Amino acid sequence: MARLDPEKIRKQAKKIMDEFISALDKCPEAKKLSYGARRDKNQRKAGKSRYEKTDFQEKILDNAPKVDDDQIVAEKKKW
Amino acid sequence: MVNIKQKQEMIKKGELKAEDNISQFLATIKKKDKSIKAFLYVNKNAISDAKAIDKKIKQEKKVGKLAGLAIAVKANISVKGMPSNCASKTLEKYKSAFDADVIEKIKAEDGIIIGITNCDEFGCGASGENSAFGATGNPAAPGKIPGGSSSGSAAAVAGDMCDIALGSDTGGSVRNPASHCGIVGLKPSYGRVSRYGLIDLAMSLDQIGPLCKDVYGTALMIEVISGKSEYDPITFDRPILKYTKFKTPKDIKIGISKVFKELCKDKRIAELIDKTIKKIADNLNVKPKQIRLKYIDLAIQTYYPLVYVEFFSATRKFDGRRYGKKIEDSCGEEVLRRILGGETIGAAEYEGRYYRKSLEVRELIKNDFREAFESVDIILCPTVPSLPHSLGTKLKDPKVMYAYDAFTVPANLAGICAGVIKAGEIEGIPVGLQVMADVFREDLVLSIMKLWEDMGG
Repeated sequence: MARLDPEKIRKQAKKIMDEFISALDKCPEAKKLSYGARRDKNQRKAGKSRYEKTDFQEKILDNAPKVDDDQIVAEKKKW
Repeated sequence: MVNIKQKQEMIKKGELKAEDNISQFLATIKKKDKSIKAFLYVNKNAISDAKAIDKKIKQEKKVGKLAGLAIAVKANISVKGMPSNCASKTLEKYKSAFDADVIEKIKAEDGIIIGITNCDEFGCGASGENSAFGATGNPAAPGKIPGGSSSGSAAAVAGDMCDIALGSDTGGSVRNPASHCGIVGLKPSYGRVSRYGLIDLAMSLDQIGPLCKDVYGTALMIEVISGKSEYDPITFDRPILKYTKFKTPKDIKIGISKVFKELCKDKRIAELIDKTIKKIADNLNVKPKQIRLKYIDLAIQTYYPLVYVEFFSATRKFDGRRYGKKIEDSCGEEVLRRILGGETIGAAEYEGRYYRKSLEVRELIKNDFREAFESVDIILCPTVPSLPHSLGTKLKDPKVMYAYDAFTVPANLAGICAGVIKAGEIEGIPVGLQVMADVFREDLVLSIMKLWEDMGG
């Protein structure tokens, strides 16, 4: 990231967002916000997976930079 | 050149071998793509896949709707075993472990994935210049940007390197490049096409959509990829219409809005679109009706805070542990801007200042369209307010690029469907007409675009 200046970019992004939100401040509040709908019909059925007998896990592990057997290695205390 | 419908029939009858179709495209890719950079990866197995289709046809076995057609796929859609790197160094070595829902459907209909196309990094951009692997050129207007973010998909279609391509559209990423490259593109209604396997930009806005040289091919692809999926909870269990059986539009009420004209930076675009609308209206023997879209001039200001926050959230999985590099350490400037901006305004969200405020105005924009579609069936307007800039032009202010999305983001914010078809040219550069219709009225959008195509548009 040496070629990019994160703090400069962050300030620029915040400035753009502040300008945009100022424009929205002139609008009235929407009376009702839709937060999505609960649709029980669309819940995935337990036990049915398209990956049960595939090489999915193997392929995912191939993408990880550091693995130990069938585990992805992550640094301690960096989460 | 044969159109998609003719080619589909020729392949099924054995008059054109799928192998020959694919070979021809591979030869064009080899010849043209060094300069256009539409593809990031070409499928090494495409010929053997095509041979398998030819074998099925020879044995008189039933083949699917896309039999032997070459399908190009944007680099943010998962195709098993192929790179889905989102045109980013972050995922440079990442290969998909599974097929996206849309890819499963394409394969089930015997379509052949010819390759993975270039795009703006993680879909962040409207020019095709934000790819970590080089900018895509515009085969329809050499020297100009092809538009974005589905730049490679549009260029692959316009440059005769595939039959149909898939892109994704969060704020215009299918329609913007379709307009600049002079082809057809469609953003389906939110929830029409499964996003499972799409590497998301903004989850509340993303949809996968097709690009093609003709309306039939666009309709054919939407027919294949639409439908409910157990793996994408926002998909709806609605009937999939026979989109390729175009109905002649009757008693159609066309809506137009002065706002688009006022916001059009290049007045020549507004004039060309006006003329196109008049021709369509005359053909249908109707008079366009002025509609009121009160908050549409705030679409950009509403859209970007939503995208910044949702994109920041979406990228938290790219921490370098599972998929390669940490995104903040390896991405380009626009991606970093959205991540850091999203993080900052997300942290300041305690008073509902940014995301919640944007959601409120989004509701007002949705309501604008709800009311408009009570009195009209379709809305016709321009796609992009200005002509594409020259490749390599330095835009110092990101807001200049954001403004390209002014006429496309409203459809995403409202969740409605919208298509683009070439209206004409200005200075030899294609300009697209945008056709919007209410939620799940893709049939109407496609019928109007087909009408314009048949009129010789």
